[in-house]
Amino acid sequence: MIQTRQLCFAYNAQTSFDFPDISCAAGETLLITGASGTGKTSFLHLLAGLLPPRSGQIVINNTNLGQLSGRALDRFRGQHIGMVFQQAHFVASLSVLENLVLAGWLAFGKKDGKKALELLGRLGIAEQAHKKTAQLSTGQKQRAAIARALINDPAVLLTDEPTSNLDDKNARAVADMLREQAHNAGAALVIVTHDHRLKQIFHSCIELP
Amino acid sequence: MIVTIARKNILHRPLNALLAWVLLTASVAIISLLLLLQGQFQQKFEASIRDIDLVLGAKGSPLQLILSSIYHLDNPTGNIDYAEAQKWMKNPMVESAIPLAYGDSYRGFPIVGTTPAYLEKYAAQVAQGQVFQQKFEVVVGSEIAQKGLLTLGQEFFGTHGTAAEGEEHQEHSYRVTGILTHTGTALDNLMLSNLESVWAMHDHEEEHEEHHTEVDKHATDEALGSHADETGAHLNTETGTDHESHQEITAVLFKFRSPMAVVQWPRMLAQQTSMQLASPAVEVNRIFSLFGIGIQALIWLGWAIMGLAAMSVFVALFNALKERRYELALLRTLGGSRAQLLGLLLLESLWLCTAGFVSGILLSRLALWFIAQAAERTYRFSLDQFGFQWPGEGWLLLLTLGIGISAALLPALKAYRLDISKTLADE
Repeated sequence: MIQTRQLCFAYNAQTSFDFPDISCAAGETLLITGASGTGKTSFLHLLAGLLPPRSGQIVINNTNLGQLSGRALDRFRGQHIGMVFQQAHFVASLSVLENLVLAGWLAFGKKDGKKALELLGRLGIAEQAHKKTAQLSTGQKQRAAIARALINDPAVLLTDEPTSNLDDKNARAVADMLREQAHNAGAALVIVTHDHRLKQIFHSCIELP
Repeated sequence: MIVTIARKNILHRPLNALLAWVLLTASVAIISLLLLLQGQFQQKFEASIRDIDLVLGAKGSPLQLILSSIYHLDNPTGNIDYAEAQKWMKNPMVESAIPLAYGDSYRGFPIVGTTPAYLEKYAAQVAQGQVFQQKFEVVVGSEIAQKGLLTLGQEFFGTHGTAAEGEEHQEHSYRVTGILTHTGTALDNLMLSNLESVWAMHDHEEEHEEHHTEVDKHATDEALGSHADETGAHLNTETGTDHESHQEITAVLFKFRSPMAVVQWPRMLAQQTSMQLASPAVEVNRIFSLFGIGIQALIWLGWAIMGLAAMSVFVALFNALKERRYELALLRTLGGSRAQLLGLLLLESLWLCTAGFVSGILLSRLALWFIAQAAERTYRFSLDQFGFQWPGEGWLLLLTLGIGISAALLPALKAYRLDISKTLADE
């Protein structure tokens, strides 16, 4: 589902990163670890098409991201890539449900409230659907963020430190949930983290030099 | 969806929105109210002087003569002798000359003696009944009828002068024979009769005043020659009075065939007679140039408040941008485009400006309604409260929206250029 080849990224002439090739199939999980300053976040942003690589290829769902630009890239990102961050952010003026519906609308131009409610139910926060996101607990926010990432049935689920802010119990729960949901949705799950606890859960792991 | 988010984002920061909205409402209301007032006064004033080149009346303030004879907003400068006025009215340079004789009033509305030509001048039609023909028949302006003060066929006593509590003329009653269509001019607030009604009503009063005008009178009659005598005689048979001397009128509205007369006559009259000719155009201009300074100052004040409103919209959006950076980056990760972010911020500002415009327009109508009540009571001046002041308010709408766009432009461009990766990285 997602493959990279000879990916290289440069902030400027002095600082550049060469990333190892990765490959992650649908329903599988790939853990990418590394110490601070190894370009973890940059790598994730390259994968999401948020940063342009200096060289190399990223192929998602048989599409080479390098061939897309501007509006087409934005649209592709919305339709095929789901993202979860360390800190869950939402459009503060909208309810949880509206935030999910918005994600669907931005990607496909359609509002699907039923599907959004169903997803919230699957993640156990259906009762919070009509609350503003600021009223949710940290754990609930992370679930809502995962639900939002999944609403468009993405080919790839990219997550950036999804468990770093959580205690052992919650970290485990979120990790399990991510794996389970990605597996059910048939999405390739890529987790970028420095959280060593996750290494015990996920076995396919690449460490950035 | 973007429209909905824009609206919800505004409501999410109610204090910022409230400040901007109040300022916008105030500025739009002030400007729109002034446009309305200026427009309507000007329209009313100018509609009334259409086709009147000069006004003949007793010596005094020309402004007063115009205000009294055309707008009925002031007391007359005095009376003039009808026979003497006649010799000017019959001049071949004159296209039309309409005599006006003031005398009585009813509940503060003047009853004016004139000829049916006065109705034609203002394109007034008789909506119900018929035009005055006999003595003491009156036709009633549309607004008096609309207020239900007088109805067709009703008989009433006039009061002397224009004061609402004056002495009643119990000897003769007037009868309403017709009601006029709405003209949007001073005519709507008048009652019209023929000249003879006014003379007959005041006959008994003038008997003891007449002797001192008689002397001048005969002198001018002789100078005038035959046609003055003819008209005098003609009128006498109609009114049935045997004194030609006490036929006085208040003013004559002139329209000339040649523009020469407009230039020459005022001086000629001032030299040869004890009457004056005043130009409505000149006097109305004078009123507006006096008024105009005040209105212009207030309009500038309105623009200044609108400037503040623009600043408050800008500051609100710009400050919120700091908090919302992450939110905007997030929209991009969800598939939103740069253009959508730009649109979102512009729409937020446009929502506010549209809301401000709508409430400002409503507020100005409300204010005008109150002013209209006062104007009706004091000046018998009716204002249209629900009309749209075109094109002034059209420009105001465009300007308000333009200000909305320019206030949002910088924040919106910042959103457009937002570096998503960097924003997401330093959360």
